[in-house]
Amino acid sequence: MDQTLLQAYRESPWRTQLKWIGASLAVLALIALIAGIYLTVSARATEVGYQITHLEATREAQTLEIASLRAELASLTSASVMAQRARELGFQPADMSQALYVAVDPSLVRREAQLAPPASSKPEPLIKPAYKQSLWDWMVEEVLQWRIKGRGIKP
Amino acid sequence: MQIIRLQTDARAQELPKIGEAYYNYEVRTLFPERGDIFDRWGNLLAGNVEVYEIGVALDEVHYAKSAEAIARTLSEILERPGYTEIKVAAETPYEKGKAEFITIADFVPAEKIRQLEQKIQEAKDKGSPINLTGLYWVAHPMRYYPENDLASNILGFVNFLKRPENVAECQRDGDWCGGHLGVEEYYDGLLAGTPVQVRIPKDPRKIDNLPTIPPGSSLILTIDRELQAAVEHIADQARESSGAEAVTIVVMNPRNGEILAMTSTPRFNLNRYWEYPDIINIPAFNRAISQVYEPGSVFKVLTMAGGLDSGAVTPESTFLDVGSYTVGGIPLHNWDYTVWGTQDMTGCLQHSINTCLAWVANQMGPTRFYQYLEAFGIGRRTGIDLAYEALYPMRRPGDTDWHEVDLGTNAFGQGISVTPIQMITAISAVANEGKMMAPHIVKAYIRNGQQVEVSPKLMTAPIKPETARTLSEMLANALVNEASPALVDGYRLAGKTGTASIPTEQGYTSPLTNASFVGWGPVDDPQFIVYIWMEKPSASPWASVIAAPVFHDVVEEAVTILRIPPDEVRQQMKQP
Repeated sequence: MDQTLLQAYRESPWRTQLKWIGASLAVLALIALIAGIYLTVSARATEVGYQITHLEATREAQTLEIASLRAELASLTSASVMAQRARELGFQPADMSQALYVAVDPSLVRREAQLAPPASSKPEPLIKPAYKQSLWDWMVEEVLQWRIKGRGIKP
Repeated sequence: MQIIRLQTDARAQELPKIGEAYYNYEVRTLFPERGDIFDRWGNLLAGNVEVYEIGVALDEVHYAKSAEAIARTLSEILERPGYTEIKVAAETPYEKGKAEFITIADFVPAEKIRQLEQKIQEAKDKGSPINLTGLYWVAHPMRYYPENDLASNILGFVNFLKRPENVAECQRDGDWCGGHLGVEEYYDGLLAGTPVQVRIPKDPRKIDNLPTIPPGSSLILTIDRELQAAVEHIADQARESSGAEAVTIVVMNPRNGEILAMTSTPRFNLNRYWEYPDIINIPAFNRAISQVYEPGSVFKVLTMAGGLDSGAVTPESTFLDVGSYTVGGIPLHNWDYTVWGTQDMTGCLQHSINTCLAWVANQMGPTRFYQYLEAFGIGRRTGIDLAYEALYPMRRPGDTDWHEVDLGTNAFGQGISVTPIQMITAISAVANEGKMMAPHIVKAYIRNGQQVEVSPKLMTAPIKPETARTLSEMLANALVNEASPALVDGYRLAGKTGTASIPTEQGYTSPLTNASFVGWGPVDDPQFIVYIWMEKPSASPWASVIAAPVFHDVVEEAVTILRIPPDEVRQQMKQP
């Protein structure tokens, strides 16, 4: 009976072991990397969250401070205070008999309070809509436009 | 079914809150900053200042044993409460859910907090920091009136001791909540803005931004601060010199109904409103809009306007005064029982002849007379944008309490009650070519960063323009003819006095009077109309003696502040 001798090869155990160790280390490194990224992102988000909270509080405090300063300024320039200061500086209330009327350019005439832009004037947006549009929004809009044109509907 | 039940069940409304608690979200109500109030030139009349609430977290104080240091430090800075009260408060035993935080003081001025912070810093720098563990201070806005009592009758005030957070509790207690009286109450909703509920994540990673809460709308009033100050000064002086119980002055632009100044005595410091319980009641707060009275002879302007406009009389019509005139079987007399003989209509106004005006009303007949009064807005509110405008109903023919003699007495302002704002609005039609503009106090408002102007509104046109011009001339001539102390050099003015007896339960038996004056100018181009009411003056009962000089003083200030040149200068300026 003929016998065939086949030579079988087997990877040496140390190599298999090395591969497993390598793969495990790679997985561990990947996990560490993901964990690291997650921790970094979380830490950054937390920090930014606290910064936002702090800035909101600062804004609130400053809004209040601005209001306070405006009121303080109004108090320092109130009618009674200004009249008192004028008297101390030697001024006296205008008398009709002393009044001198001269024609002046209309631009020099005292204007009534305009503390904010008139309601009719809408400010132009600083950033064009195209720059604020996401890719998805753009695609949706294009598809809609295409469909409208396709159906012949006048926009 | 479950979805429908969750949508409709009242208990399901609580579920989001429970959910929030589970998912670490906090629902917080943010209150917008109350809008400011300015005069027509942009001077701030009502704003907000930063004040603080100081309190202690009881568990922290207990743990750190800081009650004594807190009491000592705070009592050195705050006027109230004292050391003992603060210590007792800080030592209150902590009870979860019941006694966790105690407010020691509220509405503490910012400078006190700066002192406290400085004290803490100094102690720290010296190396012996003060143990104030558990002490907290939080800023919040408080209404502030930089002009103190200026325009107080117009502005009203905000009951700032009841903070917006406590409005529900305040309403439950039946207390004033938010704005009270004046503009502050009338425009409370606009000024206060809309509170917004926001969900704030407790997890800092989830915080992206807090929504911006738009502040309440700000108001720009028609008031001129300088004129208001001058008018208030004149009112105070007039009250003192005349011994009147109260003096009310209103200055309006007849062309557009803008109130340029309005005051009634007494006024009070709006920043300390709680110190004036006597005058914080509705009629006394602003008599110009909330107090009705029998106006007397100033009412004759309306009667004559109706008479001329209806054609019942002309300026040249004559009336023979014999001292009395009978209407409805009852003889009516002149105010001083004088007999004036034959008078034309200008003479009737100049001498303020009651019998003549009763005759004019009789010539018109009750139907036309009361139609004109209705057209002038008598018996109706003017709709001015201030809280608590009063109204006294006008009795008309057909009413059970109307008698025929009322036609005669009403003609000279007796038996009919009005507010000063009703009178100035009605008579402004004579100054403004027959057109009656709606009186208003808000010129513009600022909302969402934009200024919206309030357009003047035409109420009605009760008389024809030519009638208005004719009557203006008659009243101007009457003032000149009697050399009235109301006249002002260089300006042609029209005006009418009014001395009214005050009715009592026994009739017109009181010697006390209401003295009034209405006038406007310049007659050829009216830019202001002034109404004055002096209540029960003791120096003299006659309006011609005490109210006319007040009008003179107001006009002198008004033409200077409003920069209205004398007639001659105006005419010269008109020429090319």
